[in-house]
Amino acid sequence: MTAPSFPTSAEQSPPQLPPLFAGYRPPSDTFDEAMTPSGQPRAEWKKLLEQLEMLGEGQLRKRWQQAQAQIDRDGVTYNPHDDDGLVSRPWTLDAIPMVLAEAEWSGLEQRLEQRARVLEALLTDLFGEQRVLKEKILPPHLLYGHPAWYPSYQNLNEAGQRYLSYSVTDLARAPDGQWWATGDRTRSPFGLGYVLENRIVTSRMLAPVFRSLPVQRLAGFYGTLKEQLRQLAPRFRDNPRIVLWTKGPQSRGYFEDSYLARYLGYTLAEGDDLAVRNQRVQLLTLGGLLPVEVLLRRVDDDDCDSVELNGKSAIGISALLDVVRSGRVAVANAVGSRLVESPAFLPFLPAVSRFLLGEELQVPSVATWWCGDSSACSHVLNNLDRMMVRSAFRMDNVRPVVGRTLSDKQRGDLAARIREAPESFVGQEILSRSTTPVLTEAGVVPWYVGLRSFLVATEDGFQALPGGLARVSADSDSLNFTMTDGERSQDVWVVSQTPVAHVSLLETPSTLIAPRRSGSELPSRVADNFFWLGRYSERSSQTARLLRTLFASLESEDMDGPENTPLLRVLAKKGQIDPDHLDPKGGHTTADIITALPVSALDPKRAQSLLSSVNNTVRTAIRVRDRISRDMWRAIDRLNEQFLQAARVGDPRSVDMMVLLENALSDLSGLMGLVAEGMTRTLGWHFYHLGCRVERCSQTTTILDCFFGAHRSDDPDTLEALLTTTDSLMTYRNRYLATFQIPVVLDLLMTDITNPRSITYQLLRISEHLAVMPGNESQALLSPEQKLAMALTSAVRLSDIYELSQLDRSGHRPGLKKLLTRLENKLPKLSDAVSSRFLIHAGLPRHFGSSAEATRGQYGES
Amino acid sequence: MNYKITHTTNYRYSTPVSVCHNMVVLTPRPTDYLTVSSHRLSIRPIPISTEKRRDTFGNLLTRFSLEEHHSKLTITATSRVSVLPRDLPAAEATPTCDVVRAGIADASDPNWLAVVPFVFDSPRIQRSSVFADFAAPVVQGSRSVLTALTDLTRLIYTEFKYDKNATRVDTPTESAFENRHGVCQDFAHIAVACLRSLKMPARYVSGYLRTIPPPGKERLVGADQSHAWVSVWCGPGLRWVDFDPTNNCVCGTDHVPIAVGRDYSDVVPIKGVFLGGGEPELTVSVDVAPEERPAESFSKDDA
Repeated sequence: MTAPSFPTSAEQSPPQLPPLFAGYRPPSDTFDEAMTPSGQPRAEWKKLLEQLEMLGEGQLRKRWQQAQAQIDRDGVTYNPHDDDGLVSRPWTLDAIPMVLAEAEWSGLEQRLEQRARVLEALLTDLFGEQRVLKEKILPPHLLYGHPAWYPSYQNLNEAGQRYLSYSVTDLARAPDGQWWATGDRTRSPFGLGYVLENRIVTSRMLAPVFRSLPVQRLAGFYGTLKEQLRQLAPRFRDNPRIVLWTKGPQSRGYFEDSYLARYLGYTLAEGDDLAVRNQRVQLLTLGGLLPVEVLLRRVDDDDCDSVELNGKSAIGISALLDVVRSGRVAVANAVGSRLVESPAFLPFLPAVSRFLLGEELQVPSVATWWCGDSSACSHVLNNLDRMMVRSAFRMDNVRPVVGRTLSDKQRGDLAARIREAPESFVGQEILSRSTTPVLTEAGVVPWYVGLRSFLVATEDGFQALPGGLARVSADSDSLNFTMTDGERSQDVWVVSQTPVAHVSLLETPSTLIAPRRSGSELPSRVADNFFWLGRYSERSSQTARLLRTLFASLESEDMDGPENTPLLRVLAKKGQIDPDHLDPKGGHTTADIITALPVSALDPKRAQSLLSSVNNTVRTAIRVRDRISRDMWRAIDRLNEQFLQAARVGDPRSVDMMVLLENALSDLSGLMGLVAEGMTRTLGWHFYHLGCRVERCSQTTTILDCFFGAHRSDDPDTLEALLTTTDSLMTYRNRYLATFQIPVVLDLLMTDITNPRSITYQLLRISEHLAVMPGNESQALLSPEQKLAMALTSAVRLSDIYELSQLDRSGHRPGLKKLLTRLENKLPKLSDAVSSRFLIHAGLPRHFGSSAEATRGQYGES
Repeated sequence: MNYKITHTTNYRYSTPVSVCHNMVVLTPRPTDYLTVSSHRLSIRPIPISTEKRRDTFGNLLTRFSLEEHHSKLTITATSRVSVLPRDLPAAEATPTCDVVRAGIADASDPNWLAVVPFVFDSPRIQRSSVFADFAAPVVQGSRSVLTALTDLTRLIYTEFKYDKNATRVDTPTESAFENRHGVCQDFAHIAVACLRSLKMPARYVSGYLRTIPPPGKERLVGADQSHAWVSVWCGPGLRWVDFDPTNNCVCGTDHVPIAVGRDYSDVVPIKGVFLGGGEPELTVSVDVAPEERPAESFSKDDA
């Protein structure tokens, strides 16, 4: 896609509109990023402001809308809560970037670099020599009383190994123009993916401006990060296997994890994909175990190893720490590094810097008092109105309390809580932040800004990302909580005096990479998810088609047609409606059914309802999001959106089911088309199709059984409905026109090798997919799942459609029933055989002593 | 007093276990009052890897992994140790609780850095006024530390009911405290919580207790027990002194410590994860056999 160009003079905004910045009035008591106190634009902003004025408000808004639409299309979201990911908020980016002059930035960068060195030196000392404790620079409480400290963190790293590969310092600018650190992040800083997305979108939105200004590029930073991680590898430094270890799709950071994994070119893996075997961390793939050299860790420190750390955690790699200790894997950032981001450390950093580095701390922290010190505590209690009180040690899900917003009673309660456990709290001075221009409904207005700066380790120190992530809000207090608080984000432009050099992450390393055909380095879990994505998307689409056929029939002139009953039987068999709707004595009228259907189709509690199948499709797609194309993701997202909208209607009976079904079918077939055309024929693709084929085979079997298993179903309306719901009506009409006969219907749906919906067709494709699976491709003998598939194929192909169609005296078709029953019994076995052969490497790990009697027995009593 | 201690743990699985990663703390750490003349940790099947290390508190940990299918796991720790008697001064002659506390708080005690990890909260111990209020009448700042601790030991012994069915290994200290019942682990935790709530450094000890057969009866082999008690910092002169609230005594030569930690979670005898296994069946036997004279001093490990 090329960037949109700016309008020609003829298109320019009408002159009668007031200039964009005419009403921009920053508060007098803060520093404004764009304007001097006398109302003149700062030098580094001049060019941007001129160009924005030239563009005019109308154009700027239009481009901004397009940019937001692009963010939506790219699916840039974040989970405000750790949930199942179905509801996530889009990332919001402002139309105006924040500008910093290179001269100012390079000074700040050096000072930030020093702060990162201080934090790393502190970690190295705390977990090693502990000189800061011995010399009483730091109260021992901050280490040993830290609720997240584990004895295993001590001396975990080899001497000299890096603790921080990257870190974050959050900044606020005081009225005098000085930058203050409000906090640091040393675990796995959030935001590097969003920074990148902000830059991509903003530079396109304001392409000519961006081109005309020498804005410092970001790619070099990410290149350094890759280089740094490569250097950490204990072996194979030329091309080590580096894995981005994510908490998983339920986590807040998952979008960014998958975004970064893709950008940096690392495999995205969850704890389940990784295991310690043979004293190394291994990636569990279809092709077997592959040793991992470096883990770029996004999980919490105490979740890393359930043997030595938090035993309750299920997302860790059991026995990881032993592998770390023996130097057979590198973890970035080092396990335990999170400790020093706790606010309780802030008051001590200047002394730590002097003691460990012999340097004055150059980016000062916002004045912070740790209440574990009694004089600091009384200072906080006496000045609650000027303070923000936050947890001294915990960073997550604990909102700071702003003293001046409290009622008298609340203030009393807070003071009592502080007195009860003073060491758990810090008081922090509330800083008056700087403001920067933001485009709102009311025009361009000054909002408060917080700047998140990113540092990456270099050989002898750190290097900053030029600029960072700006968060803006009309309310200064909301910038004090988490990264995702604040109303919007902004790209940050560090404007150089001289043209900037082009850097791309795609620069080739020293050695040439041999072409590969993406073989078996697919984590088993990912293959499993592709398999289920295939199954769920096929199930959704079959269910939607069935419902569409049924609604069309129920809403037709002849609403009580004979075809309704077998269609309802299919739904009842799958637990999608209550079986009493089928009972002729149940007294259910067609009208009853029409009202009941949408309710059950959109019932999330029914395992096989349309909504459940769609939700499962979306959930599974989220799990492989880093491996599917953007277009595929958009199709999934649209599908999800349709059903979220339907849910917003509230009462399912008010949902226009036909529209919903049509849209769902079109999104699903779009998805399948994209898979067919857009996805490389990797194992992931094979597993997706394997899932589709197994599901379609089983769906068609169920449908046939419900139509013919114990019923004649030989009237034209019923047969037509059968062909419609199996998407084979057109083929039938082409061949046999309007005459409906059971043997040829059975041929088309069961034995025809040219109909992509027939059972034989599915079974043949299943055998083909199985033949290329790892281990099968070179085997002379057939594997168990191949034998199963072949036996079923033969059974169906060797059957005689005329015999199958024969009715016995009681009006049943015993031959057909027998064959369908065999399929119904064997298909789940086939699916299980595939799972156990390729997909399930591991069950759930269990803990020794997890049951009461076991531990008591072990522990004994006296 | 010399002992040969055999601690055998047996897991039998109804379906095979494919992988297990374990950490065991079964090796006694030598101290001023404990000599370890031999120790052998035998693991069957033989692990693919075994790593031994000393943790930050000085305990001897063993990490091992099995990566072949097995239906049975046997861990046997055999130790020959000598426990020396401690000559404690008259209780009244020991420093006051205030003096002991101050030595750590202001770092004037030369050992403060090694002791200070045991004054804060830990995974199983949350200091609170509930514990402080319970112990404050006996652990007064002006009382000599041994007097105070002897009284606290007795207080727990008399106020709490020994009931091996009342609590589980993961019962919170608070709940055992509130219900006034539990086993040695609970009583040790309660003692630690009370002392730390009063700013006294205290740690949890896991070990063994020699059982003395009733008069005229033979000692039953393998019927001894794992045990737990509390160890309290009593100033640079006395250092750590161990008390057994379950048996209302100062620990002597009947007590054989293995490891010390902030609480049970630091010194779990066997922990780890395994895959598969169906219904595991566990049997444990501990044998603390008194021996006439110390075995010759040598050390051999096969694990």
